[in-house]
Amino acid sequence: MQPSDVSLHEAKEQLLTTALGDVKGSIHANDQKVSAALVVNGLLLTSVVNVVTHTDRTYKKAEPWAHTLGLALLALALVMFIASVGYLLSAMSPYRPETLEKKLDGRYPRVFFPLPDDLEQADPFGSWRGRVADCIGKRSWTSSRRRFSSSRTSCIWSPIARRRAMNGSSSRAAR
Amino acid sequence: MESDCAKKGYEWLVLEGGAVILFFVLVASVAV
Repeated sequence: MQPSDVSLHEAKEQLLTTALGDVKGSIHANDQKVSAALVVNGLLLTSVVNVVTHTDRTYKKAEPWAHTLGLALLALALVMFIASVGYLLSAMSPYRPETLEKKLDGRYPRVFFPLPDDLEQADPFGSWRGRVADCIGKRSWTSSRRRFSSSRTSCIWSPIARRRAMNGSSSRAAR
Repeated sequence: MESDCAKKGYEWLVLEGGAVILFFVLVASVAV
């Protein structure tokens, strides 16, 4: 591999690492905002229930049109509550866009947006140790764990770290 | 970057808040 190829490769890795950090930050921000929205939903529901339990006497005194309007507004709020909670929960839950694998051309399978099923296939402890060792470059430490970190779902960083380690060993061999 | 689901969830939350406020106003006006 030419030195220019190596530097280009490192630049690509750096770009990918930055993109991963960016996506991670966006996902965390999204999760926090959605959690706040769910809390607001809970506050609204609590306040409505609290008011409804105290409207006993008022409801009896009210005109028929007010009965109908009040019940309609309550039903509307309930439908909107269910829709809002459903959308917010689906925004929080992990997913993988269907077109993503095609866009990435199969180069990083199950790296972006891994689903829980993907992550559970590997031994979490083993893949974590392999991940840390790959990141700090101690490959001998992970030799007994190689089968975990070489599994297709090991972690976000391992493909990058593995290629970095391969580049390192090839450049050492060249020397 | 915000997902479409989150945007729809916020929109429905705003509508729900409107419906709840209308309900409160109705209850208050009937009670008064």
